[in-house]
Amino acid sequence: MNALQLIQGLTNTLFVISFVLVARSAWRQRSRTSIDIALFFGALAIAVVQAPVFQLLGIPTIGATTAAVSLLVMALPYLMLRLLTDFTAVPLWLKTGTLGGLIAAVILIVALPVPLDPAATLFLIAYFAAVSLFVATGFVRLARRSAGVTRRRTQAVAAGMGLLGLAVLAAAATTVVPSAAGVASGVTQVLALAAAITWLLGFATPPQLRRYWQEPELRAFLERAATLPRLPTTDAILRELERGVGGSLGARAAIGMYEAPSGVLSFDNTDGALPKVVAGDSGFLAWRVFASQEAEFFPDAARAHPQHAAAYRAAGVGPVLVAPITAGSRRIGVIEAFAAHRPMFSTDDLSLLQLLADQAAVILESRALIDEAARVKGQEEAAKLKEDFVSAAAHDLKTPLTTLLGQAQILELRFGRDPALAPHQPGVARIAREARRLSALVEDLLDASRVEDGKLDVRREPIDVAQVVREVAERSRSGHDRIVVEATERLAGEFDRRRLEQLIDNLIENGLKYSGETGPVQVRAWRDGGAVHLTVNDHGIGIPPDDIAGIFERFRRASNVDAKHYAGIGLGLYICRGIVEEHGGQIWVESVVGQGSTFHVLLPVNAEERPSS
Amino acid sequence: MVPEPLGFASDPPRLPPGGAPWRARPDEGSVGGKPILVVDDDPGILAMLRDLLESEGLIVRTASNGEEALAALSEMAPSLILLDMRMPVLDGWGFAERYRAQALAYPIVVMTAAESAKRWAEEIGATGYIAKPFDVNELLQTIERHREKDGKPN
Repeated sequence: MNALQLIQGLTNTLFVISFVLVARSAWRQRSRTSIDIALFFGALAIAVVQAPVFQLLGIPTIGATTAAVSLLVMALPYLMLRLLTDFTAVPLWLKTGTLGGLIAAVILIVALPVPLDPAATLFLIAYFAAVSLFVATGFVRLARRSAGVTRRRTQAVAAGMGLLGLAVLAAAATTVVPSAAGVASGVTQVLALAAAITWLLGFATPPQLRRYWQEPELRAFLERAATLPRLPTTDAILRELERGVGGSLGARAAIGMYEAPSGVLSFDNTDGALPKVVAGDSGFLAWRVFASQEAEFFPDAARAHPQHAAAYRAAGVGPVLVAPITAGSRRIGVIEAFAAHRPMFSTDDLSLLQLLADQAAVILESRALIDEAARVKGQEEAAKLKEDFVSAAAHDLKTPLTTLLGQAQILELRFGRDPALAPHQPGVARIAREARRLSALVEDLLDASRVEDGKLDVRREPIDVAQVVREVAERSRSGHDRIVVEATERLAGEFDRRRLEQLIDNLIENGLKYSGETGPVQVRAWRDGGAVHLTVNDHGIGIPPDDIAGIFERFRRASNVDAKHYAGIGLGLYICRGIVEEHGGQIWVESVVGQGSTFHVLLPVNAEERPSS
Repeated sequence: MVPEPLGFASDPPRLPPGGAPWRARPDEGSVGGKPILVVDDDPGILAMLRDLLESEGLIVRTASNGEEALAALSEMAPSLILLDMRMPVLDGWGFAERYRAQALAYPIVVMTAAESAKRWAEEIGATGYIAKPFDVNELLQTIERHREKDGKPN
């Protein structure tokens, strides 16, 4: 046995193995495509096996057998084209032409004596090569449309078709240039072997290779997957999953989430190609898979669900793959992949889709856990904020109340001892002052509630902001000697005097409170275009960067404020923000921990009042 | 009066319905003597307590935070410290820590508006506590119960 014979034997064996494998899978899963593939390899196998078998059995090769084998071989181009038409549209003239070529070949083989004259042989070869090469380019285009394993398998099939066409052309060379017959037949054999190998890989892909081909898509998906649960919203995760799955399959993908209360599958992103909401009794493909929990391939959506056929056709939805997204016993939803044209090897896609759906289940389940944890944490935080607020409010109310009650009882005591004695003036003054303080605190609580409801009343009147600043600083109860005011120019505008006083007083008192016993507090006010710009600067403890965003929120106090140290209920800045916003202005803060804070207020002089909401 | 060794055995007596009669008067022997140190950051409360305690014949020293209180203790020996807990500069806890470090052992009565007055008093090992706002009779009784008399702890 020489090398050529060895190659030929190997090629023939591969064709036979391929036939056995595709015939088995056609038997298991009967579809037009699988039967077409089996027919193609059946013809090939019989053609290559016939001669050795006859030889082995000692049956002499007669003309009729040779003709039959030739007919089988000439049927191959037609079978290849038929396979291509299973997946893509082929122009009618080509189909007719190929059929015509087949009929012509049959007539030539049956009618002409053997050996065929060279012109007839050349015609047959040209026909075979042309159809093979056309089918090969058709499969190349098909491969480009698909992704993942399907793409690679389709590429292998295309390569096989192309190699077969080239092999046939090489065979033609033996007829045209008889002197090169030796080389040409060697080339033919090698090309045929290559075709046999690529077809085996493409049509009957070994499981190991299938996994190897699946890996890049799966790996890319998994690499993204790890970060997905941290995306800001579940919707964002769903969109990313759809993108990832679509990319892996070379199709569009849509995820339907099961909504337990209404018992529907809800899709957000179907581009109008599939229904948005799928209810249980509708017979929709998504629901069928959700109910059965078995991934399924529907070669033609319109045929699988005739009631909705028109919509599928209008949206260009042909084949649909659906896999359930389920975590343990929790049915989360389904993922659908759909395309206009049917890809090859949909069963492979189905197993990949199920793998991706399982990953999606893990991701969505993690997300649900993260959401649940955040919800519980949020509830706890809200409860704690409220609790802290109530205890801080109680503490703040009790302080003036202590003086009030004590001082009143002292008066009572003195009156009891000597009714004629004149009331002790400082004690009476103290009662009045603490009562006012209590009243101001209650007012703060009410103001916070008004800000919350958007009902902080603003009564504008023409005032001079600089003068208000100076007056408030002068009146400051906890240390006006520490306040440095820079507000000399007249800053006229229409503002609510009482609210403005409240705002400035709050900011100044904050500055004093958070800068120890001695730190100065600078207040500046100047005209800044059409607005009054006011700053209150202290050299106090400052605000940590993470707390700055929330510092104007209700009950919010910076994390470096030790509640035991600094009395307060976290309402002051919230009310300040409310006052500024009611005036159509802005308030913000610049702060460095340990160095101090500067609060900025920008109040437009002629602001439109904020529309009440 | 039955002394309460821990000060926490029972809740402080509540104000009787209809208000308390002016009753508790420190015994005459205690007039003058060692001063009471009142520590509170609220000027209103300090002034009111000075008024009250002085009219009861007690000598009063005031401090508006823990730091000032420690400074005052370096030059006086009070019969009792009335201590607020939430204060700037040096709070009640900080004060107690440094106070213990100096091996001082005057009776301390914690006086706070927080609901956790009792727990805070236990935390710093105080002799007793009183919650703000208080009835003045109750305060005077508590002071009487806990303050050192004739140089002996009660």
